[in-house]
This record gives sequence, C-alpha cells and structure tokens, in this order.
Amino acid sequence: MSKRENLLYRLAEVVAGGDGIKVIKCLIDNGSMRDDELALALGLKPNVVRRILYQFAENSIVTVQRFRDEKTGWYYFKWMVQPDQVELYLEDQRRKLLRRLKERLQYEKSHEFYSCPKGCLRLTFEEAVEKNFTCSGCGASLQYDDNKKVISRLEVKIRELSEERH
Amino acid sequence: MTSGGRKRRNIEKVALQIVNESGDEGILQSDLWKLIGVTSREGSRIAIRLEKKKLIRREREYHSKRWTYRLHPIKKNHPLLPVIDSPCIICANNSKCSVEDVVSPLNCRKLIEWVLKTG
Repeated sequence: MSKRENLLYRLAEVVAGGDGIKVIKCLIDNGSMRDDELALALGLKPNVVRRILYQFAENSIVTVQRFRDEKTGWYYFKWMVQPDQVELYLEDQRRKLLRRLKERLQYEKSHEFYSCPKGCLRLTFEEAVEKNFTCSGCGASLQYDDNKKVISRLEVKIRELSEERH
Repeated sequence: MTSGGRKRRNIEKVALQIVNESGDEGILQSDLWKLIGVTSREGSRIAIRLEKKKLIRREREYHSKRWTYRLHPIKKNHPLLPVIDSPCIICANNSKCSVEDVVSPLNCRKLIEWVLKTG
C-alpha cells in the first residue's frame, strides 16, 4: 500500500470507522458507484452508507457527480474517491492546527491558571478572583495549576508539525 | 559528482529498494551483496552507509555457521498522519473554532489532552 493510500484509509477509519474503510476500498476497486450499489455490495443499510459518504465528502475524501437518467428523467449520484484532494485537505488542516496550537501556547504563557481538583473547570487568575477561588460546579477551592508541562508539550507539538511541511 | 560516486549512489539505491521490498522478514546482508553483484566488503559498506542515513535497520544474526546481519526497512509514515490523529479532524466544531469564536482553542480540553498524550 502506498503512503498516500495509507493516509486515505487512516482518514477514512478515523472519520467513519471500519465501515468507512470498506466503503473506500469498494470505491477504489470499482471507480465510481451509486450509494445504493455500494450498500448492496457491502451488505450495509443504504442510510448508513449515505451517512458515511456525507462524512467523507465533508473531509474531501470523496466527491459526487450528478447524472440524469434519460428514460425516467430522474437524477442519480455517483460517488468516487479523490486521493489527490486528501493531501491538500490535510495540509490545510495542518496549518489550522498549527495556528490553534500557537495561539494556545501564547495564551498558556501569558496567563496563570487555577483549576478544580475534581476536574470541573480551569480558570485564569482573573476569572478565579471573580469566583473567589471556588469551583462553581462542586464548591471545592481552586488550586494553582502549574502549566509548565502543557507549555513544553505544546512547543514540541508545534515543532513537530512545523517540520512536517512538504 | 564523479562517475565512481554516481555508480555508488546507484548501487545504494538498488540495495535500498531490495531491502524495502523484503518486507517484515528483511533480507540477509550476505544475500543482498550477491543480488546486487558486489563483493561482501562492498556489500557491508553499503549496508552501513544506509543504516547511517537511517534508511534501514541492521540486526546481527547467526546464519550458516557465520555471523551476518539481517537488514530491515525502516517504515516512514506519511508526514500528515499526526494531523489525522488530532481531535480537530472529527470535531463537530472544527469549521467554527477560532480565538474570536465561542468555540476556541484557548479552552479546548480535547486539544490539550491530545498534546499531553502525544507531544
């Protein structure tokens, strides 16, 4: 399996689980198919197949084309995998993720945090002062939350994702 | 590049291809140099060079009453694989997540849990 195919199957699995992989494999083997044909071939319910296909379309894994039946005048849809788009989509997601991580890092570095020992909430110092250092969820007193580990892990992740540029 | 250097690179390329095609089982260094038509000394040097470049992994093995090495390919994942494992990919709020919005990476618990788990 090529790296690109591996990427495609992994994304399909994350988005739609085991049935997602089956759908992708069937589409790769057959080129393009209607949703009812896919359901029949895989032994899945048509609504399950359609839900998976919509999820895939949202993540740029598949694309759809509309055709018109000359005899009946009805429209039908054929789905096909677009492996080239997957890398572009993930590259776009990588940039977004990187931006979010950088923003979070900046936020973590410029604030002091207090959190509930039971894990209900995590507030900045200013927010904790307003709440009188008491958890609004369970009433426990908020404790200083050392975020050094979060900062260092964020820095590692940012470096990792920055290096993985093509 | 000299013709000798070019030739060496070509042999290395062929050797790497053979190791990569050997799959999980790998290939014995002694079999490799026979396949690419070089001496055992040159075969050993090629394997060492590929290992230094982190393209293959060598494991010592006793075979036919001699010590040799088994060469294994190093599988490199696609560089975008970590992006797929991030929580953002399957997050229902992915398209509307930003610092200016209600759904923000500044207070996303899933994002930090992922960073702490994999960072």
